[in-house]
Amino acid sequence: MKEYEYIVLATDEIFSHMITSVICLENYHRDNLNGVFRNIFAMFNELREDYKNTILLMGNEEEELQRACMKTKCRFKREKILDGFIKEMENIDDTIDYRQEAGNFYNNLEKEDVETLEMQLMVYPYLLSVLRKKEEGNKDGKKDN
Amino acid sequence: METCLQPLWDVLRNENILDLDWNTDEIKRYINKIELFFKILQNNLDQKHKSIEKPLHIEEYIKLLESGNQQEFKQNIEDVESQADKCNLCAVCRGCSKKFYNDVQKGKITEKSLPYELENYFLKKPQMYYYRESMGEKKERTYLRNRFILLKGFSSSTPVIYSASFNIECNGGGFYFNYKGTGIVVDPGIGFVKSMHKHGIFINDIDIVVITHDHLDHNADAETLSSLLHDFNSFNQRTPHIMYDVFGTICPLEHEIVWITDENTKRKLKGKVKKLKSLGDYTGYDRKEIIPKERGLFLSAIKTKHIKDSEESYGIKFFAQYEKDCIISYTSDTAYFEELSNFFAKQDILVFNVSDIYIKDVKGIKSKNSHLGYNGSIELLKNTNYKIGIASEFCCTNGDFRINFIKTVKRELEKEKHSCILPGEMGFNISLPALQSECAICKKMSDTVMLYIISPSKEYGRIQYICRHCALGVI
Repeated sequence: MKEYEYIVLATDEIFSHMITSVICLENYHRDNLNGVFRNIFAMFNELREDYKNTILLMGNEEEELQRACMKTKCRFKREKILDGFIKEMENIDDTIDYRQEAGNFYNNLEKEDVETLEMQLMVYPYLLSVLRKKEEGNKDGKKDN
Repeated sequence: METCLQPLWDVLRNENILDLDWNTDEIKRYINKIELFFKILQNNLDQKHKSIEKPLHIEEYIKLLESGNQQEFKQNIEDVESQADKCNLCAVCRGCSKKFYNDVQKGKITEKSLPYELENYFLKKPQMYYYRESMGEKKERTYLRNRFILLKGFSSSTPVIYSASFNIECNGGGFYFNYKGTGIVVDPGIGFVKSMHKHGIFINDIDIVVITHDHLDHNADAETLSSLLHDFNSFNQRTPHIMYDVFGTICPLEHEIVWITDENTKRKLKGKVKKLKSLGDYTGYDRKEIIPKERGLFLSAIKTKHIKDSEESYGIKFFAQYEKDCIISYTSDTAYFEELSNFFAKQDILVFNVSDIYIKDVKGIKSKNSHLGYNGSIELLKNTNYKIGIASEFCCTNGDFRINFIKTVKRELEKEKHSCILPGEMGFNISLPALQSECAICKKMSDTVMLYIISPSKEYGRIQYICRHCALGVI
């Protein structure tokens, strides 16, 4: 596998999710989250290190398996990002089952003919919208009373 | 969305486990693949965290394989499947491992792995994405507002012959004009869509299409336009579709086009386009509103003498309200008859289709039956008032007579009033209602009626229009 293939894959699988989740949270808090974007640059360096280690281990053998492993590593990282995002949401309001909501979102996504990266990234603003809807619902409830 | 273990399943799918020979090294090779996979995963991307461990169901799966007993494997694979929910590699489980073990039990893998050669194809964006990007990038689009753009030079009625001798600029069919942001296409003939894109006109710049008769040099690209509109709307609705279901937001409106056509074309387009009207409903001298929301834009039509039997053909007149009315007339294909002059008595722009000329026609012995030709054009121009007359649809069978035609017509007319007659060329454009055009040399806008023509450098070549200053060598 070539080095640039790592980066291209990681851009879709990791960086886009990192950036989207951070922007969504910053948008909600209306504040910058310290040090978060630094993590993105650190991730880039770790990717390059990982590539070197994989080449040391495998060389040019089992390229198919190398690619599969790289995808899994990226997706594992991506799932950690989502997990972290859900935990942040739970810190704000833990009465909502965000994992269930995300599951519903993914079920809807599977029904589409074509699944684009933009659609996948929508899970973050979607979870935020669930929280906001509940908050707005609470405000309306108070007004009615 | 694909999960963490999906890449492993894609690799293993290449070999159906129940088809392997359990008495040989094939099973060992299969197991080694899985082990190697997790060995590479020990170098996790995030060095601070632990390596990615083998989930329990994978360990159970390997144990079953190591037993070397196909019968035992078949009996116990269900237990492995039941453990798949406890994978915990993904934040939200989508049951991928369950699906894999289910397939293994059935003894067939229903999904094929994606060939590496095709992976890049799916990473690329669709064509319509780039179409929309181009729409945003084209600076020319900002100049479409209140413009008349001719998209036809020669006749394209016999494109197979002409395309061999003419350059690509001669393709076309009809014209486009924009009234305060509302785009109107008239007679989208062969190659119209190609020409319109070349001149920075995109599908969502078109709100109304008028087709005067059912000949392919006037309506061949109607279905192409309709198909393009469908693709454009489908693409725009595709990506955010899930957002309407999920967020409950209102679906954005589709871009719509109103089609006003003769009856034959209407029959052909029925079922393919949504808003279809009859051009026949606009016949008469009274102007009629085209669509209620586009106030200030009116249309009237006259039945012309072009097609035999019961088929229809029309000439049309647009009334565009500015401080004063700006009237754009188009004869389309027709022989000359007296009522034509009455209908087109007065306008700002008169586009008339010449077609071909014959000796008897030029000498005034015999007029053409279904086109203006030479004599018909003279009669029309003599008996009507216009600020700009544009000769179009030249059918130059024997050679390029465009410039000589204009010269001789002007000489015969000897008009003293302030009007001009120009040969139409692909891309020739006029701003409305000021009636100004861009000089080909200095690029400044000047009155269209004061334009000079540069003859094409070669036969069937491009005609250019220049301002008086450039014509006199003073810039």
